[in-house]
Amino acid sequence: MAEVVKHELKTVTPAIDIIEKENHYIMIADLPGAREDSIDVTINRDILTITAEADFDIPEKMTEIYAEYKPCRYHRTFRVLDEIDRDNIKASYQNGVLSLVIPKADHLKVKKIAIEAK
Amino acid sequence: MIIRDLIPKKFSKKEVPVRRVDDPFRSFIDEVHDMFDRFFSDLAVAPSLLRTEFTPRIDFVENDKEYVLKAELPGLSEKDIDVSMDEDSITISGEKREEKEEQRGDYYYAERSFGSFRRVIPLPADIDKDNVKATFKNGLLTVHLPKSREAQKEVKKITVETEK
Repeated sequence: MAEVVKHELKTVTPAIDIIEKENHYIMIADLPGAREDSIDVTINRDILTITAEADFDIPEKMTEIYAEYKPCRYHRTFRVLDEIDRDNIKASYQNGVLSLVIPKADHLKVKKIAIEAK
Repeated sequence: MIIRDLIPKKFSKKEVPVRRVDDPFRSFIDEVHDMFDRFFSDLAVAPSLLRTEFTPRIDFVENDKEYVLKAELPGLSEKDIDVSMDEDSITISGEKREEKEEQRGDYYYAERSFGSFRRVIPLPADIDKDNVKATFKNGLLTVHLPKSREAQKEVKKITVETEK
């Protein structure tokens, strides 16, 4: 189903870091100004989507002196493969930074093989 | 050759919205620059080496009674941010640090920027310094700077006369 895009808000691509660890990936997105309840992380088939709305709450009847940003809608999609354990993704949000901890699928996790001494 | 010319355009610090004229005889130099861009974007350079310095973006608005300054500071906490004022300017400074947990691991994407920053914003009118309020929420710093009474009165209306 096509998503209805709110046209009054500018869409911004947030800056993202993705780090691979032994058994999971960490995805960190800078979403300054995003309201916690507006952040959505979804996986539809193999597309991971992060959306959020930044509520800068600029009071009305104010004149702009500098404007380096505008109220915006953050949107970013990634293709994910079967390499991740999509049921156990953990997301947290603090100080405008969204962190996702995405576990690797079981078959990709590093396994230690015990060596038997003979 | 200037070294800056070798740095691909997409990694340069600020994108300047300069209109590009579509010249059918585009210079050879441009062609070479594009070649460099393509070369570097295909190259699997460690992404963390391509990070740019962190500079917060700022919004500054006013009405009759106050100025409101907003700065995007994702990943900082209120303890990391320093706001100070002098006679005619306000300074926001601090440092955006990488979270410790991130430090080990392989980067696939490294687009977020870190580092110390300092922005000085000139203030155009007298501020009632005792009533300046700063709040920080969701990575957004908001500073309310009420104008002093004198400054509020200062707005002068200039009558426009018609020439005869």
